[in-house]
Amino acid sequence: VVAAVERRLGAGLSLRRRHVADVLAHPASVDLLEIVADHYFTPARRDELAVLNERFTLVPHGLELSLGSAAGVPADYLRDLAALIAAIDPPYWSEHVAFTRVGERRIGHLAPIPFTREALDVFVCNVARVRESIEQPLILENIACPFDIPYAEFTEAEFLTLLVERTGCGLLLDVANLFYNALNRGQDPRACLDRYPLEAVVQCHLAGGHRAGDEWVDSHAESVPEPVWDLFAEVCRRVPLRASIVERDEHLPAFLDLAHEVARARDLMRGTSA
Amino acid sequence: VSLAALQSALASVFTDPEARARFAADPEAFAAHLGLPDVGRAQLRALGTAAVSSYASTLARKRRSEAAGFLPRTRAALGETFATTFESWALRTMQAPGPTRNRSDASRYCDWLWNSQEGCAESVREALAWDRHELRATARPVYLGFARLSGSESNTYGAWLKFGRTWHWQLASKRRQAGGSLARSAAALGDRGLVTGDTPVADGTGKRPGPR
Repeated sequence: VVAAVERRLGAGLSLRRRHVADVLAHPASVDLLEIVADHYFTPARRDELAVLNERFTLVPHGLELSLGSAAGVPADYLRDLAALIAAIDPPYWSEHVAFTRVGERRIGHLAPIPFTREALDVFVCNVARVRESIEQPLILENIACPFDIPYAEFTEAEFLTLLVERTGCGLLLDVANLFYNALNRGQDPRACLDRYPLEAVVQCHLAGGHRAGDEWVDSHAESVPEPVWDLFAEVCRRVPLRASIVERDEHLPAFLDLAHEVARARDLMRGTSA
Repeated sequence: VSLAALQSALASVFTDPEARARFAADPEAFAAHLGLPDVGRAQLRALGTAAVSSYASTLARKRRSEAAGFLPRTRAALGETFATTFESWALRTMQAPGPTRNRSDASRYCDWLWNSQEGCAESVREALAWDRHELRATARPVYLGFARLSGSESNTYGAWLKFGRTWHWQLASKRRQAGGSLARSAAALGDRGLVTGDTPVADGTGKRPGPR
């Protein structure tokens, strides 16, 4: 997948509806846009999608394909996702290393999968099924979760390494997720980064969270904190990153402040040797 | 097989407050009742109630974030209390299934707050009433409602009159206390697709603003 995404796309924003007018007014502020695929399954936003696809490189980001689900991926969601991806023909698309459904039951959020051989086999099988419907390259994102499912047979890094080996998928490294997961486990984020299969990283996510009680929460509610920028800079030094995306969902600042974060990510990527 | 059983158990304790309570009271009995194999029982027991509560809190925050766009006036009236009351309510309720789950969350929270906050400030009750009319008018084929928002210098009145799926009217009047004049604005909104359901996963944005 890394080889398949030949060109560097640059830095951009995870698009929310409230940003649409701003990105259309300031198109040079982003090199690409990540769109939440689920938001564009209904006809209501087809026109908006067509306009965006004409002006920007779009990368769809799925939320509920539930690739880690032992019950398999939901056929209706896969159908809608495949249709969306066929319509915009992105350089790649992304989903999470998680499960969100058990049969018809939707959890409503990304849930952690146990890092076991059985879960690995299930995930590989689900990816293979998805590939029958979607030919564009898939990259997989590490999720934020303050705990691991007990009795794991692998660490997260080992699991991800095996996953990219067996599926051929690239990685979407959410630097904030890695950072907050490490803090919540009392681990050194830089040491965690060292164990990740960085050679497979195609794209990074950048976001800021907050502390709630004893936990750090990747809430996308704050600016990207300096330690996350430092980790991102380290990733940029080590791998020829294709894209980076700034995520923000709450406490939205002025668009130009978000654009400033995108510009900072772009500048760090430009320091990378291709 | 063991993964499927474990994921089913996890989905249950993450989303269902009653299942979470049973798990907290006796994890072993809860796991046995679900028929989990030995390894799944051990995983669930070792996971513990703190991790389950942590995940449930994260899910409550997400539900609040996604429902907030449907409750602009209530959110403004409650300020920081909105997050704490919504998340507290969400922890005690299961999210409705289906593509309108975020709207349903907003509506159910509104109803709960309306019924449980008899003594709350008038401004909060007015905001709640307004948001409830918005939610109900959108969800129902026929609707008639009226609400007022008090301001320091003016009052805003809203009326919801809707028949079928294409008629959805709102009228707003703003009375200026000082000048005594009455400015009216009216918007015919039915032709703008406002009676359609939620997007599958709302991003908490883009909800149609009511009359100003």
